This record gives sequence, C-alpha cells and structure tokens, in this order.
Amino acid sequence: MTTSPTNTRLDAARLYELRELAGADTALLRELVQTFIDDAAARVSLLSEAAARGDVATVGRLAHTLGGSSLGIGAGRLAAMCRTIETQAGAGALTDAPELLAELAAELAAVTRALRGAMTP
Amino acid sequence: VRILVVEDDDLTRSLVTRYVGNRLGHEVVEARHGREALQAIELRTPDVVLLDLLMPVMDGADVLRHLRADPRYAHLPVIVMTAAAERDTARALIRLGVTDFMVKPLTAETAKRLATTLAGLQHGRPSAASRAPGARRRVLLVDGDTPFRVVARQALGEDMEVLEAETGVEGFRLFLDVRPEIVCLGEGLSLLQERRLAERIRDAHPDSPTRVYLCAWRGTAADSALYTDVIPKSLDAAAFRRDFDRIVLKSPS
Repeated sequence: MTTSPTNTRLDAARLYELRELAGADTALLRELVQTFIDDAAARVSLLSEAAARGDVATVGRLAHTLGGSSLGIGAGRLAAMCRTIETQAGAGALTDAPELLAELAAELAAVTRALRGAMTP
Repeated sequence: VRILVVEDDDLTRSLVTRYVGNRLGHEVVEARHGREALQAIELRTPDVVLLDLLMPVMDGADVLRHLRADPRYAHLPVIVMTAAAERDTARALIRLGVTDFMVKPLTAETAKRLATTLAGLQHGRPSAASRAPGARRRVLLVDGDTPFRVVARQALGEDMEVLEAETGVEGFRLFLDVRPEIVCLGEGLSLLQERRLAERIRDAHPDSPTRVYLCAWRGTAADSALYTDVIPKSLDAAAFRRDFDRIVLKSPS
C-alpha cells in the first residue's frame, strides 16, 4: 500500500496495515483513530477561523497537517480536499474557501462515522 | 539507537514513535516543532532525528539549517519525513545536508526501510540507509560532495548495497574491508586524492580487478588507464540512475 485512493472515504486496507504496523501494541489503532477524530475536528474549526480572517499561511499549514493525518488514517478523499485547500492557500487565493470548508466538514463527519463503525467490535 | 521524532501531527507522531519504540525497540524522544527539537537535542544528543518539514514555531528546514551550522551536529543523521507532494523541496534539503528521506505516511514498505536504516545506524556502518537485504551489487561511493552522495544513495540504494566514504583514506579502508565490485570516485578527494586511490585499488587485487568509475560533472574526460569510465554526476536521482545503468550495468537507456 502506498496511499489511499483519493476517491475513498475510508480505506479498509490502510486500517489493516496500521493494525499490522502496531503488531502486539493492540491499543495503538484505537488510539490513532481517537487522536485523528479529536485533532481533525479541532483543525477544521481553526481552518474556518483562519479562513475567515484571511490568514492564508495558517490555512495552508493546517490543511497540510490535516491532509497528512487523513492520508495516515486512510481517508483519501478528505486528504484530497485538504490538498486543494492547501494549494489555493499557497496561491494566496481563498475565494472558494467557505464552500470548500463546508464540504471538508461534511466529509470529516462522514469519515468520523466510518472510523467509529470500523472500531466497533 | 536513540531517536528524536519531530512532528506536529499527533497521529503521525504517535504511529512513528510507537512503531520505532515498541516494534523496533529503540529509545524514542518526541518533539512537536522545531524549537522543541533543538531544545531536546541540546539536552541529550540523539543518534538520529526523524524530522517533519512543515511545522508551527520552527519548521524542519530551519532545524536542519541550525544543526548543520553547529559543528557539534554537522554530522548528526537527519531523516526528513516528507509527503510525496513535497519531493520538489528535496534538492534544497540535500543542499542543507539531509541524510535521507522517508515518505509519509508510514506504510509497511516505508517502515521496513526505516527499520533497515536504523539497524544500520545501530551497527555504526556508513550508508546504512542503502543496505537492502539481499542486495546483489556492492557499490563503494567515495565523494566529499554530500548532496551528490545523498542523490546517488537514493538512486542506487533500492537494489544495491551502497557504501559511502567522504575521503580517499576512508574510501580505501572501506574498499579493503568490503571488496566492492564497483567503485565510484568523486573529484577532489581529500587525504588521498582520487587518482592515487584508483591506483591503490587497481594494485590491491590485480587478479580480480574492481571496476573503478570517476563520477564527474559533464564534460570531464577519464584517464582510461585508471578508470573504467566516467559517470556524469547529477542531483536528479532518476537521471543519475539512468546514466549508471547505461554506463556501469550496460543496460539500454
């Protein structure tokens, strides 16, 4: 596995790979999922605040970090959305930010539900 | 091996630290941004730093710049953890003195490579990152040009065992230790100049001659009495590999 496909909400193969990487550390996957859910929600809030005040540097950095952790957990579509926002921030243009951030928040909510579902025995 | 993991993203940092600490059994210290990293290094120098690039407070490139400007840390191995999209910055990092790259996120494949790298560092061998198990060809690269060595290691390390030396003397010692099939010498070697090194290599084992190549920027002619051929240097790993395959392995380009 290299990276999750950009059209995949949650890549089951990536979750399996994380389980394999954890080995005997059986609590790790659950902790990673919880970390992702907590951090991602906070970052989306901070992204909205930064976009509202036109702080493109912060938007770019937050989108970059959220994109990285999205890839790490197997949320390919969310990662792709973050890349779009990061690219726009890099170009200094956040004209589509309200729509993109609304889509991002909706996708994150769906990923969070999928992750919780995947963690349910 | 004592490893400092510098990463602002909690998920990535947790995954890397737990893998390196619990699975590989190394000692791990964490930092959330560049300034914390420099403080941790001052407190106790790690054996290797795994460094994220884009971080708040102080980013990875600044950390690397600080380390390389300080004689105490000029040779501290620093592996930059980078997303594939950040590969464009690789050249700048190579010039800053990065030791190696690890593509994020951590996957089974990158984890295996990281484990090999860290195991190599544990045994104190040069170019540990490049020694893949089962490698068939052994290449000794002697060049004081660190950016080029990093590129060459990336270009060849996947399927060859690459051993590195910065000076002619170190290169000759490694040559006697490992008897590589292929030796690549850079220009302007210190302590033992490349022509002298090539002569010593030629005279060391006359019955099983090693192929010795000169790695030079384009336009340099080789002395055919000493060198098998010239391999053009490049800071583009793919371009260097193409030339290496064509000239050394005699593969069609």
